[in-house]
Amino acid sequence: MAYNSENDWLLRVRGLTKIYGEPVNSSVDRTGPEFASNICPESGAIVAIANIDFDLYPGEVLGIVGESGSGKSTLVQLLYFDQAATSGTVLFRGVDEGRTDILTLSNQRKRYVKNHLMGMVYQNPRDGLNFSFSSGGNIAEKLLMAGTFHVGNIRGRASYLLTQTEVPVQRMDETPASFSGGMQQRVQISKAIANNPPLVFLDEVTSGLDVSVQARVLDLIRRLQQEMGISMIVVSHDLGVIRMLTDRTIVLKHGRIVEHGLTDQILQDPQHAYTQLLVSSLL
Amino acid sequence: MVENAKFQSSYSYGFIDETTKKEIRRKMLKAICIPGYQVPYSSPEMPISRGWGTGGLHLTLSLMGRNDVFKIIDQGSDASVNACNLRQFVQMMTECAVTYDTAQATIIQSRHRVPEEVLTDQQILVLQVPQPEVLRGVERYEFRTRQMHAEADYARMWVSLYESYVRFGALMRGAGYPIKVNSRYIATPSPIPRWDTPNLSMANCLYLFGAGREKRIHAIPPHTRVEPLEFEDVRFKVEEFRGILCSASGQDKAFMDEIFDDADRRKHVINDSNFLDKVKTGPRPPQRLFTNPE
Amino acid sequence: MVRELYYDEVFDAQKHFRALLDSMARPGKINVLEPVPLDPPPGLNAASALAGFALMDADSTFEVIGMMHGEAAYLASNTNARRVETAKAHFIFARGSESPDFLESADCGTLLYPDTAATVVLQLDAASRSPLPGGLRLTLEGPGIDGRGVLYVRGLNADLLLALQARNAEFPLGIDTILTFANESGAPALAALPRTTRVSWENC
Repeated sequence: MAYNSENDWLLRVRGLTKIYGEPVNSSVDRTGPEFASNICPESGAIVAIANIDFDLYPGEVLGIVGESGSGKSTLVQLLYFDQAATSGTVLFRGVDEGRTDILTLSNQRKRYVKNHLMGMVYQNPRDGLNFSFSSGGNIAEKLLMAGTFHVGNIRGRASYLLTQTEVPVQRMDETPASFSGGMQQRVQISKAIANNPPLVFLDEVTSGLDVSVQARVLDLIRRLQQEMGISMIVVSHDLGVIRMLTDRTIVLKHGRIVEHGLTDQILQDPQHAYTQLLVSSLL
Repeated sequence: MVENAKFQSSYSYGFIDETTKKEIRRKMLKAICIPGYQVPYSSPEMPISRGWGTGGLHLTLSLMGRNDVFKIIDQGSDASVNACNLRQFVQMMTECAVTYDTAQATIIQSRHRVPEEVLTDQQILVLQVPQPEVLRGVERYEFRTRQMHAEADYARMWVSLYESYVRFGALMRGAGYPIKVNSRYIATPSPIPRWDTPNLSMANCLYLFGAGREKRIHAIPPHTRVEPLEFEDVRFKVEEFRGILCSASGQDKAFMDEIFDDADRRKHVINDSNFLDKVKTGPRPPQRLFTNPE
Repeated sequence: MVRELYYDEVFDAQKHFRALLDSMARPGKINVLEPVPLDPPPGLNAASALAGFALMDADSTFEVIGMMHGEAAYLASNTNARRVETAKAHFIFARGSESPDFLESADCGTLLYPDTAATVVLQLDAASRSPLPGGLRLTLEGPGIDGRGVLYVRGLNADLLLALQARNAEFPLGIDTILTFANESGAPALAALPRTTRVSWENC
């Protein structure tokens, strides 16, 4: 990984916050790891995440680790526009060279960003794939949204991607419903990288798979990331996955960052009590 | 204001009351201002069942005046049962003149066909539409299809065409080939054959689409670009009828019905009954013909 | 404030609607409305009144801009439409010489329901296919127009065209416009500019 200067960031997140319900001014200050709660005692509002700051550099893999309810999935949903943020700014190098807060874009422009510049792999393949379409059709969707309207080219690219993700090309015209879980994830990965996006999100992508299948999918992700130089944000509750894939890590608890740094360092020498707990339970 | 005393009878002129007609008229105007977009409207009850042309009737009766000449066809035929029933109803309700002659009509209501003879800028074609939501096949929920239209998010429509091609070798089976109107909205042209679809683009006449059961109106103004959805390497093609002649007139280059006679011989006859009558007895009326790409 | 007795709600409304439909389907095309004996207040020309009568009813809302001589009451009592503030009006009646401020609050619809946008009725001094000295020459392109259309207008503030252009920039959002005037023979006439029409203009 090359040295990146301060200003070479691909994604810059500042103050990202998501609150459900009706917050009051003190809601954020009265929730978080010190309070061991996301729920504002006064208004009942749920502070899913608050004041999240981080940078992501090109070609870098960032891990986000935390338990259920830590806000890690929410964070990724906000960045992928699956949900609307309450406050904060997100700058993305691919949009106006990082001068525009992408959270403020119109729906049409957000759609453009999602189609051309981002990819997403969900934990449940049913969230990322349409099971009434064939696997090739699912990949075609991403290519079509990016403006490829040539059937030959679409099939060519889909075949190539499926080969890269070790899915048998002969099964391109079958629906993912007939595939194993691991293969479904690999189709999702093909779809996510179809347009060579600079940024891909992976949200607990191996959590539903058994261990041997997990290892194969993780190997694939690592290989693709190295070959294509994609920046990734990997969400997981599993430190083993984090260790295998990521360069840097953010640890979330009750919607706040409690620790961040190089993955190796965090695993060797965790500072925060919670991180220590996580690391100690790592098999 | 004084209602015209002559029509203080048991029903309104044109069957539909004036207030409802006004609402339909307002919606028609908005449909024209937003080509291809489906405008929700009141779709009042009519004395025929839903699915039998209520949407077409709503538009026709709101447009119709005493000076109009009305033609109605059902799958190309003026003389079919449905066409006759609706014609009788419209004539009774509006005291208008009726005709079978496409060139004479000012308002033409049609189910499943566009007349072969080119329509002029003095004519309005009202098409009956069973399912106006072109995306319904890929998305069940109205709130989502509305969102898709709002954001021009038509990826799933395109994927379904890709899937159809991969599975069946054709972009679209059946009638009602999806079209892109004015480079923005994807719409259905109603279940017309592919043969008729190119007629919608850059036409001289106004096209209005009424779906009574689904309560939607959409429109294609004249001189508006209408493109059937196609891929760069898999192009839209109309039916070819290569080497086929109409057995009743000996003519070609029109949309043909395939029929089997009493001796089980396969024959073709021009589907548009008025066009057929004209070519049998006189010169060929003007048409717009589409050449398939290579 | 007059209640019009000679207006036929059935047949005048139908004929005038057809003229309006034709103009809206063919932007820039002038259609003459069959005249009806009318006595609108000074700020409203006959074509605007007839357009209002053809389209508005108790379910409609409208606003009049800069008209102070009973125009609003006239429209309301003859159509049963309700007068509301500009932002909520389905129909907005204004003179073509008006300043464009009112357009900023006019409803241009939503992406989900672009058909809820307002219709603006602009009163001009004159409009014609032939040049009008002192007026504007409008060049029109878009759905309904074969190639390019030309319309000459007088009494239309170019700032209004600029403001309409801005409001109509993000199709399908936009405002649809009806231009009303009296033609050379003094008959009520109209032309229309739906939001899809691209308008450019220069002085005559």
